Amino acid sequence: MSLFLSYLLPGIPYGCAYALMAVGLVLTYRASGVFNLAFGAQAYVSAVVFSIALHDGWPGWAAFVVAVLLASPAIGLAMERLLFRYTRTAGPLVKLVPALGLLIAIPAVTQMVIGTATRLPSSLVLEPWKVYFHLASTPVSGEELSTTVITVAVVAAFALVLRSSGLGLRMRAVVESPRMAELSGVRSDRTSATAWVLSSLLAGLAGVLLAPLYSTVSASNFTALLVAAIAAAAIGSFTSLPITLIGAIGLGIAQQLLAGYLPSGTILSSGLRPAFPFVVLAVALVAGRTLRQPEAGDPLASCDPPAVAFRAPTRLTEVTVGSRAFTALVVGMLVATTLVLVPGNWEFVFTLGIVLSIVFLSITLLTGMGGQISLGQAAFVGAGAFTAGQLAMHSVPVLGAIVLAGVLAAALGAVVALPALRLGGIAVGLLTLSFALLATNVLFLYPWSGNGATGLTVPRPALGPISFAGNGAFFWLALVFLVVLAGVVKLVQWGTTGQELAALRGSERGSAAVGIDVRRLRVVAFTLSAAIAGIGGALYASLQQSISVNDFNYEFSLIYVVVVAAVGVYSVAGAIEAGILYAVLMQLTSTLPSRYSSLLALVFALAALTYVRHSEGVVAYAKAWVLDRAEQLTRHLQGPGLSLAGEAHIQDRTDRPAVASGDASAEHPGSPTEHPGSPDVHAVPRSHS
Amino acid sequence: MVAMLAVTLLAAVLAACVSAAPDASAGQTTGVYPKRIVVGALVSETGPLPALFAPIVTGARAYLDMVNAKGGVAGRRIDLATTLDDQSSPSIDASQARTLVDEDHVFAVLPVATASFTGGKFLAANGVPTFGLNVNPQWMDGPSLFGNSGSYVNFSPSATVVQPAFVAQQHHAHAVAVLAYNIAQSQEGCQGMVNGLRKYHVPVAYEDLSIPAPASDLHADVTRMKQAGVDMVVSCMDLGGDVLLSNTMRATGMTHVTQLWATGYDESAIRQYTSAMQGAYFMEPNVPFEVTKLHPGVYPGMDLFQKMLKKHFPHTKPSETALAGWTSAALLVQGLRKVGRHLTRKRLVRAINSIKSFTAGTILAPVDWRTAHTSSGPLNCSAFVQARGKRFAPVYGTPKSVFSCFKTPTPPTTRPISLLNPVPAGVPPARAT
Repeated sequence: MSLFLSYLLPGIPYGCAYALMAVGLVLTYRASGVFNLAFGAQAYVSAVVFSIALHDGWPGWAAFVVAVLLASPAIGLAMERLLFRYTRTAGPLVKLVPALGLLIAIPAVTQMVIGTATRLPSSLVLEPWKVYFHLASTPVSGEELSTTVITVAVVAAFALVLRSSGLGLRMRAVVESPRMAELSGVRSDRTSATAWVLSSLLAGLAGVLLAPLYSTVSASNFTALLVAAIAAAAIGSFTSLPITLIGAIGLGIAQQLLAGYLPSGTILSSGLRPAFPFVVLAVALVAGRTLRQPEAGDPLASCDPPAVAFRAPTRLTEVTVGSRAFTALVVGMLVATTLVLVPGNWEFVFTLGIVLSIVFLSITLLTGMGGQISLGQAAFVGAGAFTAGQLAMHSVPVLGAIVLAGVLAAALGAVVALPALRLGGIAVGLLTLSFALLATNVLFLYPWSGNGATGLTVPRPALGPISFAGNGAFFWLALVFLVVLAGVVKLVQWGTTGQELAALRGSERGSAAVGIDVRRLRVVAFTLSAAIAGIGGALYASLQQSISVNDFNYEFSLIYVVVVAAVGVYSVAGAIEAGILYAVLMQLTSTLPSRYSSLLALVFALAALTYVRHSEGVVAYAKAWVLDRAEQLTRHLQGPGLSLAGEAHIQDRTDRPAVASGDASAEHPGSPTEHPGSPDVHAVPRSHS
Repeated sequence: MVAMLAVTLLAAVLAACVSAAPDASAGQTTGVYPKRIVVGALVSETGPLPALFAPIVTGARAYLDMVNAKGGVAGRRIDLATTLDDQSSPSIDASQARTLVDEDHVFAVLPVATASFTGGKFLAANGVPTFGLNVNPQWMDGPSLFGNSGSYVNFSPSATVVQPAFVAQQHHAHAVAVLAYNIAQSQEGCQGMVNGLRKYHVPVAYEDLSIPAPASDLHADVTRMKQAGVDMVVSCMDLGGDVLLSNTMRATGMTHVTQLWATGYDESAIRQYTSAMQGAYFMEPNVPFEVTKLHPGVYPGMDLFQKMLKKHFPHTKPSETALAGWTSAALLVQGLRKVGRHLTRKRLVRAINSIKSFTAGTILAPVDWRTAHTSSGPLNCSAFVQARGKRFAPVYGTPKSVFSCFKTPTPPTTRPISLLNPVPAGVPPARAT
């Protein structure tokens, strides 16, 4: 009994930590429909501010006021006012991408401001490691005591406010239907902002309270807490605060018991434990009901007029020809300089860009074309990479191993798609994220897969007498793979599957209504996407020659989505541009001082914030803008009397996002319906040659 | 394609071409100019364990500043022009190594302190002289890679490390726990310690060599250690993990446990974590920093290190990583002096690999660079220190030296392990204290 208690008791403060964050997540999710993945980042900022203030000699109460009562709510309010107020009626991807951007941007900005020096956590009330009393002969420390008492009190207070106060009533009304609440005189805008402030207050409190659980103040600790908090929120069906609290504490205890009773020193004990919340999350998502109906929303949503169809842009022949010539020039320049002018490391950089383009193509197919959110692409990339490595170790020719890696990744994609069939929207994203966590913490650690942190060595391929050992030769090989796979994606886009995927992206229910087998389509999309990611991973492994689990950490899945969404998720060209841009900017920023090492991620994260208004991506938007201006200039130069016969309709029908229902306008909030005064805001993915 | 992409690509190509353009004043050897030698650093400044690696640049820079202030070597200043951060990522490490050589055109890579050293293969293949903190097996990849106290590390599963068994015997420990991260060098380093403990019949009561890094919760491990009656713990984690371990033991009532930490011998660390570090032991490949105050003038190399560090970086406290930077720079300079004015990478590598006894001026136990790439050498010496209050104190050793030296290899025995006494020839200091 004593041993059981000694495992059980330390789980309670961790459970409380999950609960604090889970309650914050539920608040914002219920009030604004946004799954605030940046919650952990907000907690991190408060912990840093609190630590710095105390270090600078501030009294504890002043540090608390600034870190918890001012800084964190201010960040939350800014997030709501500047970003998420515009996403209330938007689709899940529009809500998710900016949240992912903030998850990456907030710690990056913090690091740039405070530097990379190690920061020690400071305790809020009791001395964290001092034993205050014994419970059934098990010592109880200050950290355990303070975290538990404060969490239970705060969650109880929040539950009381939501259940019994006027504010709680208004918040619940806004959750049900913002429009209906407004008809009753409730300012849903203001109520939603209040929910964000309260939730951010919890983030701040969580940051300050939980920091002493760790030896240093680190953003990754809070991100890890967040993923467990999501599982706790799922247990409470994203609605019930008391059940969320109980679920969170249960989760913390279960983790400790697992750690205690699983054999030590094994991958199961070290890996399953951090991955356990995601096993719980996967079960809760698939078994629960709340997130299974992503399209259920405001009962008054049907009062909206149907979405205005996106304009089908036309281009003058001169502009089209000029654009294509420019494309050819840039591609030619890229190839020529890579092979002739640049030093070896840049040859490597451009090759890496091509390999990343292949990986990003998998996101284009799944998310851009099919509207399915995957936050676990890095797991498929890793699966491909390690398959190639293992096969190469067993004397399979590397080129064959690359192809087989795609096959295995495809099979994994199909397996992951099966439970996802019951889900939709953000829930699919969370499920795939849970798979990525499981892969990083368990699957990739075994010697027969990724061999843990030691990793694998993967040779460069050869085809008979042709060796691809040199960077220049490998560049050509990667280019051939890119052209072939981009062609495959284009063929899918042009074919029936592409049309069906476009319909699925527009509305899952609408697609089913017109006879599309949505379940089959989702499995096909996941399988194809995983296959492409797997081949990309195998090429990445062969390019790098030495890979480990760190190359495919679950965080890369989030970064991949942010990068592709920021550049342009709807087109093949967007994936290629994203890959090349990412590799080039990574190299250009690699020589900056370490405090700016997050600059690369920050650039894309900030670009992702624009997704709310420009879901086509900043590069795609910029391309359209440039082509519009070029067209205006051309028309101006040609003078009056220009006939429409001289125009070329270059917009391919299949490149347009589906606009079959109101869901599409939600996915493209920048459409003329919502911004009639903004003629430039046409969330139209133009054709990309 | 598009304007933005084109602009970025143009910028990239321009940057690449500019960096590729040869310097008109350059000689035939990359990075060697009439009045300067360009070197570049590769360090894990960000990632899970930055504090472990980042200070190496300070140590190297302090040494180079001192040498440059005296006119450099053979009329050339040594310019530590670039420090690249590999973000503790294996793939970025390899990429940054290529950048240093192909783009920054460094003559040598100094210092290196990285979580993984995948770039080592490329540097070895290109014969680039490379100096730094040896915690990765890649340091054995070629004769141009020089670890701070030899390039050989026995990462085989059967490797044995005698020092923890010696400390356990000194404390009459009955049940020892060994903890390590699930990171190769941490795991393999501690596996050698487990083997050593078993070889010398010290009971290993608890073993967990797969803790996820960085450590975030050690309650289960500590509870199991308590159940097993552990009275000594050996840790191959980083400072953060060790502090968490110590605090968790305190919170669960496990006091009076002897602790041997692989890292954390750092003045600023003991000021920050005074209570957590109390009584912990550390073993070092170099003489302790405290000898400067305890035995002034006996270890002139250590005196000089601390003096120069204070002079050039007054806010930086001595640490084992900073010292690794200093000794790495000292090895480069010693090699450069041997080569003289007609400098090439090959000549430098050959010159260093002919050094019979390198001690960085009485700081290290002697390293024989004729064999130090492939074997651990004839001497197995460490200096032990213990955290006491806000300071460290040297412990064990022999009347003639702060180093504790063991036979190589030490034969299996049921009797207490004895130190080599007197210390073998060549072990600093030359004079008795």
